[in-house]
Amino acid sequence: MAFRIEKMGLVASAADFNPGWIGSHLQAPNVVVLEDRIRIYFTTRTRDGVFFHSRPGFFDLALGDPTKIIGFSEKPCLDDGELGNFDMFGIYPASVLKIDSFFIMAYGGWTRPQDVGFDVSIGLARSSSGDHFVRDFPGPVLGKTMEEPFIQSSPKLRFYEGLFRIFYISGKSWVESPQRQEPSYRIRASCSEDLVSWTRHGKDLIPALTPNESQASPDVFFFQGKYHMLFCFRGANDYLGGRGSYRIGYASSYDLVAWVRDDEKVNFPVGPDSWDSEMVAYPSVFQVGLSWFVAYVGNGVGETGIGIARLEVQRDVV
Amino acid sequence: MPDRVRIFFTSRRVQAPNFRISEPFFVDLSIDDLSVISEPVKVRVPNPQLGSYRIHGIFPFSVAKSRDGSLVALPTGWRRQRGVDVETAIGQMHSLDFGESWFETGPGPRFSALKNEPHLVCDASYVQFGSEQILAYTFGVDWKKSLEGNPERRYLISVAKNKYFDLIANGSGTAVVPQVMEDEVQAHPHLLQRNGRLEMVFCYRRRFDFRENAKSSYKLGFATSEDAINWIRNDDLISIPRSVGDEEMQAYPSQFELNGKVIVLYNGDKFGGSGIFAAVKEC
Repeated sequence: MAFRIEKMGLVASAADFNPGWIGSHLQAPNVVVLEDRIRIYFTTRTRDGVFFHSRPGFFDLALGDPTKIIGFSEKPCLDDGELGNFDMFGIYPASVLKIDSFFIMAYGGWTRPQDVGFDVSIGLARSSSGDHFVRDFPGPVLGKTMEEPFIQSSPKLRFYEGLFRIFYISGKSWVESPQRQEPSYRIRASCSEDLVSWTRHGKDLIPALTPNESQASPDVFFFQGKYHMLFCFRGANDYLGGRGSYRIGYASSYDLVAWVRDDEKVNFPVGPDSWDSEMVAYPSVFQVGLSWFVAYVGNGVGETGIGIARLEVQRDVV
Repeated sequence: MPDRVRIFFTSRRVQAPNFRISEPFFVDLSIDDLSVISEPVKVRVPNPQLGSYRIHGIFPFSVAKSRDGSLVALPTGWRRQRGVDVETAIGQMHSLDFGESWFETGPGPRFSALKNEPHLVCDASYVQFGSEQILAYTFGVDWKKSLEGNPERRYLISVAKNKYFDLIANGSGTAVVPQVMEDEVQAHPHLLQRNGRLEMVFCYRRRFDFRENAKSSYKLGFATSEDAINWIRNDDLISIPRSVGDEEMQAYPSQFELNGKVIVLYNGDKFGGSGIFAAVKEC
């Protein structure tokens, strides 16, 4: 099975929303389809001294026209963590799952250690409305372990086969580049019955194309008897618009454990519009009726905003 | 070791102004009179990689004997932060040569911030108790700013246990030792199994003003438990008379049995600046 990407264009950029808390970027879309709207959670980017600071918000799209904005959060839907906590320096990204009448958010909480630019652990928060969330714990549910020493981030919270699943990325190493330190990270998975105790697979799910490849945004969806994953990946250097920049990859699995990577099966192009001419990244897949869509960011990892593409099955050529 | 008492400790090296790095050492004492019989030896631990929980040092090193007789260390790794001074987590290392060299099974920590323990998981002590493996440690409750605006941490002692050490998990945020003052900070629990129960020595202080004011500084505490969950505190059972070098503080205690007696080691003034002290417990 292969897919075809039909781009519908840019739907929102930071400039579309006035409040100052949003800043310069709309980053890392995560979509929840509600009864009367499509809600896209994103994270912001403002500048706080020398650092960027991200917080989660959302905008809503019309069910019948996923390029039409019909609503927008006036303030962040989760505040920063307390002094000294894993999320005191902001939240990025934030993935939301609606199950029964609850919205559950898995998010990357940021600290600022002195040896490298940042570290991230994954926390959980809940909401009955989807508008404002309250933390399950002051600490993370997926933090550091002996095998996963830093950067547990880019969570995607899902519920498959009777278990909650967080697909996430885990740091492998920090790579010194001429300009700065850059982390390398890979996609992993964990599962839980109760959102409290989490079991980690403990293995990288997706083979890398280059030794220092970093992968993010592992979004898994079930379609025609198989699990499919869209994710994004980049090289360690020159990835902010250069040749090592973000692209979207694809893998499939029958059991959520063994994954086969084949980026050609989606072949997600950059351009031809200028907003995503350099990179396509942070995919979030959603279904409305019988149609499948992908929300994603373009150039500058969200600096130009969030766009939508239609994901269509390409019939195998016999 | 049959012929000596080996004490593991950490020492500070100045890396930059106001930036010290602690590293583990050991020194050997005579089994007869606890006199020092060796030069301090710096132990060999793997270099931490960039981003490691212990990139800025180890304090304390926390060594115990594992069930097979080899040594296990549960070192508290330090990593300097922005916003607050530091974050800590507890690693796990093993030694097959009585503590001269150590290896670890993974680059990350064994116990770290989790769920209801949002930061500063540190100060491990491990002991076997009946059929169970017991871990005492401290976890951060919160950071509050002093009148001068400096964030100061508060941590309390918790215990986690399991039949198998590998299955011990932290994160409950349950403080097990009763507190005797408002805003009490508890640190460095050390466990001993004795007379069919657990005995814990630890130290405690006020949150603020503890570096310069002896009244607010570290004192020794003592608690006992039959089940590792419920603890009875009685600090009178570890009342050590003050003398030169520990007039202002007594801190970071550990304890061991030798020739039928319980020896308590601890730091005196200036967080170890005046050295390590020993006391024999009357019991």
